[in-house]
Amino acid sequence: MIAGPRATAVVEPLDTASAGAPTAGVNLWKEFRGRLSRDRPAAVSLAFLILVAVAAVAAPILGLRDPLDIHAVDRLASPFTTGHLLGADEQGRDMLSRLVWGSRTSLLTGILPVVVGGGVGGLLGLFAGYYGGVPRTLTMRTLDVFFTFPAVLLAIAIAAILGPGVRNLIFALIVVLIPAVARVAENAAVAVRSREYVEAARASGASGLKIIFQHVLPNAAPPVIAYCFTLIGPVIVVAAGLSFLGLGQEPPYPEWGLMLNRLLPSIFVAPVTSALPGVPILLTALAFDLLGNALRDLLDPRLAE
Amino acid sequence: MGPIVAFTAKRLLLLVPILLGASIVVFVLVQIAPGDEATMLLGPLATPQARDELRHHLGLDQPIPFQYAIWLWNSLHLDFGMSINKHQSVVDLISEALKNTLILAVASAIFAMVVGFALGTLAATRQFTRTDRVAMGVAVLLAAIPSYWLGIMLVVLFSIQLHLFPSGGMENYIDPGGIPDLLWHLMLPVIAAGAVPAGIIARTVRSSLLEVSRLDFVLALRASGLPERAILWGHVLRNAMPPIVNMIGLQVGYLLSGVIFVEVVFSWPGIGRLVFEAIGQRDVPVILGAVMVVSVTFVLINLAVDVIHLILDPRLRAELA
Amino acid sequence: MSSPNGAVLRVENLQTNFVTSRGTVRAVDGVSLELHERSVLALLGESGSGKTMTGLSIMRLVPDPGKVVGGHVWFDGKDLLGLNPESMRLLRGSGIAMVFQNPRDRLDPSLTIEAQLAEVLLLHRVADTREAARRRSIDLLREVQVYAPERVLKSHPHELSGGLLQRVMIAMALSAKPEVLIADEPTTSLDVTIQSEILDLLASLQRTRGMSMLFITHDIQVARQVADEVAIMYGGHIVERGPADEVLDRPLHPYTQALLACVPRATDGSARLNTIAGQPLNLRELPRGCRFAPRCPYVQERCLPEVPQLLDVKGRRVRCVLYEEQR
Repeated sequence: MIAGPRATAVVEPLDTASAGAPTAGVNLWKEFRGRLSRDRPAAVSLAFLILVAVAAVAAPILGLRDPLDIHAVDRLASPFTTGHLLGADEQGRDMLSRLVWGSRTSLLTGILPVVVGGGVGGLLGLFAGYYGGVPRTLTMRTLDVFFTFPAVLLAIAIAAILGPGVRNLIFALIVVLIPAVARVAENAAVAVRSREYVEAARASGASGLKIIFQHVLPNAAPPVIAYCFTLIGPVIVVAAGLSFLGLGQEPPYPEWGLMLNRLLPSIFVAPVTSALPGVPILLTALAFDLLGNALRDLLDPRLAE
Repeated sequence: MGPIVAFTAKRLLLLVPILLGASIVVFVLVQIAPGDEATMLLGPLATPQARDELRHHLGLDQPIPFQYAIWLWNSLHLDFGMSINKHQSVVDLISEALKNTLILAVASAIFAMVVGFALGTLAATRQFTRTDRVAMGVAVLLAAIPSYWLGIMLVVLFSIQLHLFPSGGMENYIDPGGIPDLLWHLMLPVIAAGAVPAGIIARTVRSSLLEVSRLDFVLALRASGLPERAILWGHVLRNAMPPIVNMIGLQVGYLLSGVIFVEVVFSWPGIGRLVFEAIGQRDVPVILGAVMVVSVTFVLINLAVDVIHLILDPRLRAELA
Repeated sequence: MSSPNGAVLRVENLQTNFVTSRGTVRAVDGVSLELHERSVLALLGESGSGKTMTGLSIMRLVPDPGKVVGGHVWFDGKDLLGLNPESMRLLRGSGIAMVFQNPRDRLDPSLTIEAQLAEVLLLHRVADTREAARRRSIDLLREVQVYAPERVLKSHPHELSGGLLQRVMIAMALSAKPEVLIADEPTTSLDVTIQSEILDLLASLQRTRGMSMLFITHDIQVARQVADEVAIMYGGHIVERGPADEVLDRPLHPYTQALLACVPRATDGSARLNTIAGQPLNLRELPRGCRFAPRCPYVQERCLPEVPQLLDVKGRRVRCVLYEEQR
């Protein structure tokens, strides 16, 4: 694709010039289970993510110490000290507890923007791609303006201008994600529009909206969904990164990136504890990546490596 | 050469309205931001008259479209005004910072390309063996690493524990040592910034090489007796380049802004750090100027990548004509 | 069968299998043939009969998941299947060369013709400098009846027509003066008028250079035009083999007969086209016994338990129980 600026998403874009054939939901599920049994990394990732999700949701009842409880005496305790399985942070708060509680925010800021941005961008691109003509040109050119900014920079600029806070962070990420998903969805919709069953539906006089929801959406959705899934990992990393820069979750509440920021001055004194919050960021992003690959192979097999 | 020049010219022309739109977006964003410049500069104890006077002096009491037009006009003359906090011309600040960021970004890109190519080629030529799986495992891991965390880990390991590399800064300010000193300071930030693109490039290289290897002409080349090595380097690689160049272009975009994390961790005096500090200090002229400059650079790099695409693939040139 | 000329290439019981998750496909199942000096053997069969795989197996270029699992290929006193990969590679192009279908897909789209020809010439030491290669390329192109060789040399594959590209491929294949040329459906993707030209070209080149040619095709008319001998393939087996005019004018095997009956004749304007009854062969579920039995008009009980042997009949070889008494 030479013409026009390129997507600035942090991962490789899918070329969705031809979406997959109609797939029944049940078959998809069975095939997914089959794939998982062969793809060990993806299966492990799924198990890990389920574990993290459960821990995040069940945080209040897990019997953890209070994540906001300051214990100056325990400052920067190493892992495996009594009472602190993973050590304590620069204010003496329990690391394990803060990591688990922090997962709630980190996961939220990673997944919610993809869901909302993906939904909005996907629908936008779908409609633009299907209807074509002036609305499409208008929409895509407007989105092109956003593509002149590198994604991370734009997110930082928006979040910084709106001020700190989780809500502003999520909003900034949504704004950045919408154009990227819209472009992928537009490609998919354009491809599906020229398929025979769509032509047949149009010839039989069905309304545009009906065609979109009955034919275009089910067939253009799989590659778009697969693409969105591959975005989750990088968005988690970027969201934590923005918190690391001070643009997301505010202290004293726990969040993985923010914790890294707070512990930065202590890396000389307690290197292991200071680097600890980065591990869940990496593992979660990795798990989503591996799972996303398996999903992508399933939903858009042409791009399987 | 003709069609390439025409293509470049056409794209440059298209850039104008797009960049104009972008500048409007940036300007509007800054206007939306809460807080008032005059208050920030003078402090909370300033009198209302003082504030009004400063506002008038800074031209902030003019209607917004007017302010925008003036700013745009000046920008086209590369006059971005004066930094509110640093008392230097914005252009000077930006050009110095941009140069530093480009050094880091280019070095990281080179690192990413070398590592990515090595991993990807290794995996593709030994498809389905253990080497392939390990190489791809490394690539997936690299692609998921948070750059700021990797930076911290590298500092902890190489700087603090092993005293091998400096923990920050671009050069030894006390006793600058020229290029070797620069390279020494570049080592860790480059690895931190280049890891993710390296992983992504590795995967693209592998899949593109494999896809081209399956094409019919490779079988014909084997049938004429060419050794595998010549087929790979002389034919498969060149034909596999387009998607790889595409991906590298994307990654450069990522690098241009992604380096901000690395710049913060390593105190690298680049444009990412400049924007970040300016945002914290509400230094509007710097924010506007820097974001616009980064965008223009970004867009020009994308254009350059597309042109390289054209040069590499004669079929695309034919399509244009 | 004794022959006046020696056998330049002898295939003995070649066996090539494809192992897939849904079963093993025996694409080439015990194929034997002989290619004699200065003669053309046409390997004739439908798609799926295994003819292309036979050619690729001889060259040891069978793609994954296929593998040559048995048999011998005798060339120049050596069994090609037993050679180490490097020795085999040295033979390709210089001892045995191959020309393929779809010449456009067989050339590197990013290089000029000159570059690709030069590469082959330099590889086989036909020329030792780029300049010498260029001159030799021009001679070769003229030999394959390309009349504007300099222009063709400067072009990229996508700028040239199919017929021209096939000539280039033939030039490349012949550049190192191979003894054997395997031509796998070289005219199938070309226009009918060009087809004839390319066939004539191949025939004349074969004669002037004294090469032997294994000509793989599905087209009976083409076989008739170029072949000295013909081998008919069905379902991975050779079912009939012999001198071209005899086999094609007086076919013995029921499959050969059916095949020839399918060729439309210009005289029967109103008559219906003949077809062969039954379904095409599913190579994963082969019948026990003769593979043509399900569609054969003469099928008997003894066709079924085992694959019939290849029998010598009237100076030919036929794989059919009908001829068991007539040896």
